[in-house]
Amino acid sequence: MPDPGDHLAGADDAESMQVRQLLRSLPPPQIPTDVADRLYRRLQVELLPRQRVARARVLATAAAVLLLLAAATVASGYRGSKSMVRAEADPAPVASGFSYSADTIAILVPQLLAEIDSIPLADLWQREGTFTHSSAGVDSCMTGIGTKSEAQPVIDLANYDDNPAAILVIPDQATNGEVSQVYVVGLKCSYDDPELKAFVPDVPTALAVGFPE
Amino acid sequence: MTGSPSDEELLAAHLEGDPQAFTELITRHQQRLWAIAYRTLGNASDAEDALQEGLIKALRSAASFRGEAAVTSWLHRIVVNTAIDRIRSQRNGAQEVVDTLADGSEVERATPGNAQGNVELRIMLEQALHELPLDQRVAVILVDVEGYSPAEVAELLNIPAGTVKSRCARGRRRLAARLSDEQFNRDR
Repeated sequence: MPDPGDHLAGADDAESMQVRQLLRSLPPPQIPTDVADRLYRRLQVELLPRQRVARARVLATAAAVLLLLAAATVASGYRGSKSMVRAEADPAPVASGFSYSADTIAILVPQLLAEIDSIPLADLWQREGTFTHSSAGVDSCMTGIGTKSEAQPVIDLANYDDNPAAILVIPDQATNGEVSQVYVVGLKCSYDDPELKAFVPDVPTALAVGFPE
Repeated sequence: MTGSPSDEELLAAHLEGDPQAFTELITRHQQRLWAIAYRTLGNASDAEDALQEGLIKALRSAASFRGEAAVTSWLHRIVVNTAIDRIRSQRNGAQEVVDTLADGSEVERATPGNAQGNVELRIMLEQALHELPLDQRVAVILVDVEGYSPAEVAELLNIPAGTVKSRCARGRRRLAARLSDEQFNRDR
């Protein structure tokens, strides 16, 4: 069947040919170094959970058992605690009032966990319209950033670089929570658009969390 | 194995769990993908978003790549279509592109190190390129700037090759007319 655009295929006049030559001579815009860096980091974030799964496949099963034991201990010994291994269906984010930045996040996250029981839960109005409104929203966000941890994250509705953001602290199962992965996302984080603002891997959190012996 | 792995081998390695393979694949092609996203969208910020979004899509859908096209065509298709979707989803997208380019700063940054006359001509051409209707702009960028054949672009955009040719022809004519006007105004 003839292509309806074929009649134009040979229709280039001299001016159009000149334009073609000019277009072909345009130098390619170089990808800026900072753009390439951010792209690399974003891909690493996306790949990281897969890497961990691949690297710690053997440890994962043991860690999951330990986490379940830890959750049971916490549930019985720390009723009502906002510990990292709680198993409630409700996400129950906190609102620390902290103002995080790239320079302070690795310091403030352990502080957040150490003081978690004295930090107020976020009010319903603070959660309204955010992904923390339901556990499904949290699951969607966590899948969006490329992680699907068995343990629920601690979520802090706070500020990052002076803008509202959610800080997700996810204990690393492979190390039984000795370190955590910290993601900073926008309040509308979802699978389709995780709104990832920052990622801080392997923040030491064992002492801050105080996992039961 | 000697030499660098092929794109197909890198993608296969990624699917088998090699943590570095996908990043290596992207590093290999990011320059050209960036150029296409940048020229289609007209500014660095949107181009970065489209590139990231497109490559995350590629990463997430890598397992469903069936090898019917080259890996590089698959990557280009995803990034081009993500850029097009982005423009379509922007309510005032066309105006934003024109506004962004009005001061020439983005374009000028893209053409460093050229003689002044060439820079002016290229800036003019890039501006005119970004004022083309989206379908013509994408066809001209892919065929005339990036050097794809109409058949390859037809496959990337899932449209007939003749449509690609006609869009290119219309786009070139608009560009020629626009450049003639500019030249006329400058010479007055």
